[in-house]
Amino acid sequence: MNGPACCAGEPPAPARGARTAKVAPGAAGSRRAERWLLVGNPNAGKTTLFNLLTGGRREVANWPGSTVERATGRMRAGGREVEVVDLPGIYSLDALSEEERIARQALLDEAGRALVIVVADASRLERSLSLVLEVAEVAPAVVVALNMLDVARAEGQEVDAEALARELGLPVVPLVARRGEGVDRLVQRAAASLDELRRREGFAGRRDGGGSGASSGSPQAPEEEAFARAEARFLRVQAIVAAAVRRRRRRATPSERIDRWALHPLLGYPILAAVLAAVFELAFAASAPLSDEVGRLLDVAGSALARGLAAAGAPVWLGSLVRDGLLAGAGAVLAFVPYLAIFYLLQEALQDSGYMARAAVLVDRLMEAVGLHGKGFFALATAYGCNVPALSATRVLENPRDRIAHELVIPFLPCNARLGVLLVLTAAFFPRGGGALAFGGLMLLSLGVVAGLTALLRRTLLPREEAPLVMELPPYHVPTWRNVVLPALHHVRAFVSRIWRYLLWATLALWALSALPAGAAPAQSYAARLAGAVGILGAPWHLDGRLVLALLSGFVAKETTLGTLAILYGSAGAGGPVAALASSVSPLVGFAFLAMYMLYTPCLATVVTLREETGSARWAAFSVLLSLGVAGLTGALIEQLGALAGWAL
Amino acid sequence: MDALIDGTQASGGALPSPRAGGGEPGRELPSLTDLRDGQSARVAAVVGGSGLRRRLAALGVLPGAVVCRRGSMPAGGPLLLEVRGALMALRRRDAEAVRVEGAGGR
Ligand SMILES: Nc1nc2c(ncn2[C@@H]2O[C@H](COP(=O)(O)OP(=O)(O)O)[C@@H](O)[C@H]2O)c(=O)[nH]1
Ligand SMILES: [Mg+2]
Repeated sequence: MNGPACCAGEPPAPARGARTAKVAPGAAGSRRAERWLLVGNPNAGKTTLFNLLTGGRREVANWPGSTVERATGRMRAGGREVEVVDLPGIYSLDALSEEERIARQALLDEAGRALVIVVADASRLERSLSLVLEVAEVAPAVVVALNMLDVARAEGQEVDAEALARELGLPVVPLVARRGEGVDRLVQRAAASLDELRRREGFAGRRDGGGSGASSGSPQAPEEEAFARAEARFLRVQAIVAAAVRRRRRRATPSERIDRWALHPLLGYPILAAVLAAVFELAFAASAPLSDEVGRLLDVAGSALARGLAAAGAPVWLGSLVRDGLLAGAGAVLAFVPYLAIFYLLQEALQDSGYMARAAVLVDRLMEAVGLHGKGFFALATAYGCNVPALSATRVLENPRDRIAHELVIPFLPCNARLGVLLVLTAAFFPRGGGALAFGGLMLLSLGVVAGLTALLRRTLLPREEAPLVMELPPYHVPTWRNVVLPALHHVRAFVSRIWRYLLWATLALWALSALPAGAAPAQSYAARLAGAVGILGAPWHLDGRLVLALLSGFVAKETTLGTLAILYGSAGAGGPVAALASSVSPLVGFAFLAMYMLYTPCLATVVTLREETGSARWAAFSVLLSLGVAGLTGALIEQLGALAGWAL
Repeated sequence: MDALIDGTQASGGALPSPRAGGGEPGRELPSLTDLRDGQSARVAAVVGGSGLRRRLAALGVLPGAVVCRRGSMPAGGPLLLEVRGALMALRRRDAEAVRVEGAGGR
């Protein structure tokens, strides 16, 4: 028997001409805001449609008890106040992932009140329709937004919306969300459907939330029954597609042509390397001058303010408080902003274009080898820029356990700020060569820690989940301005509003330690006195109090480490603080210090973000303890082994 | 040609296992990993744990579906599969669970 031809299925051609069911005149009346829920597969165009409907103004919170984003927005349509909800992208209502549970719950909670718009991807119609059928089982008012018609057409498929509506028994509105085509019609149709629902509900006086099927479990094998239902659903979908889709001769789509290169088993890798190099080059090249400029402006503003205060007769400490406390605190917050903005922009653009999914597939084998996942690759790579966006980039992993595994190892990858400090200090500790070797050793060490730790976590706390991660490869799209800039801005704003209090207080505390008592010489400051006291903490690693204090202050922000060391070692003699530092420890202890500096808890912002992204203070605390433990052990190990090998401590 | 529609009849394609008790139905069939790049076949059964089966079912990887193997990543990396008009990747150990019949095509 001849098998099915590769990837070709040609259902009979129905009559053409896409027109929707007649639009009912929008029944005016109801004052209270109504709710429209957008449901659909990932990449079906929900967010694009959401932005069209709401003008891009989204309020983002988390769904209760989860870290999944809940995006809502408002729109007015012919005197109606509508709240639009962008539900997370899902393939089915099977409550396997958090996203599916949330979408399912939202549909059940709102059934009978809300209108559900299922965004169907016309170029991936079977999968979309399966979800449509599932949603229609639980929601009484459903409108299908048949999106991506341009893509479907380019792939040689004509979808007959009218036939589709007939087969489904639901209104279907053709749409090209990217170009805004069909949106007015969708709004009219949605409003009409909701009015109709209200009339029906009004007459019947009922409001039962649940639909049939979905929640009825058979006593012995609910699971097998669910599979049987899914099979039946897809069979029905096949029949519907056969009636509503006409397939012209299949051509290679633009995406397929790109993938011949991008997913080539050999050439795909140099291409990926080139893309990543370009992305990181752009990120650093564009953000470094911005960061410097922000720092310079704050310096200027701080000095001017301090001078003004002095002229007005204010005490010296007040000027110092403003300049080195408040404005330095603002600087600590703002220092993140250029990196974050650019990383989020690039990340969203890569995601939106579809290339991110290819990168995940290319590197998956490598990531799998250490117990991680291809989808987490970009998050890990991003961590070398800044750990904060890296942590939020793990959201693409749909299994919570996988996400936490990635989130726990990210802090062990040194961010740009840490790398900068490491470079300066490596040069200081190894003045007579060997610096490059030491630095390379540090980088390998961090990768080794990541691999070793994941292996350990996978065997203990976070065993691999049975459900595979979905690696869908959506067609390529040129990213749209709105889809990229809006989420990036949102991320940056959310970060700043979350973090500024912590960083400001922490910077003020550091200022108080180093600047008080007022008028005292640096050697008499509280910081210097504290250094004497905390020296005991560093004893097991042969670190003196000043190095311990540098580690402690580095917790606020890694950029401050060099500043702290400069203050503490500043008075220690000729050649400047760096030389003083280098002469105060042996290369072996210096190397151990660098390793500990690289591995211990990255910074306050990372911890706060960890808390946010894992959704639990427990995981954040665990991460802090883990990194302290790993850093301490590694430092001790390096010194022990080094001493055994005959190096001086 | 009309492979997708043909799938109707193939839905009951899982053969009873020859080894009573021990094996699941379909265990003896070849899996997606046995296909060559460019070959397609019809899913006969998905064996394995329920998490795996449920997630694959959500993507339409169910008995009767036609799957085309479009490529594979080197060194035992994931397989590229076209299922129900969409392209996706699946790790080999997961693809192992998808048992197929009627392999054909290029
Ligand atoms: N060609 C085309 N692209 C679209 C259309 N609608 C959305 N897109 C693109 O598809 C991608 C995914 O859209 P998005 O709204 O993020 O999907 P979501 O995952 O459902 O929120 C983006 O690159 C959009 O620009 C459409 O009708 N036609
Ligand atoms: Mg979206």
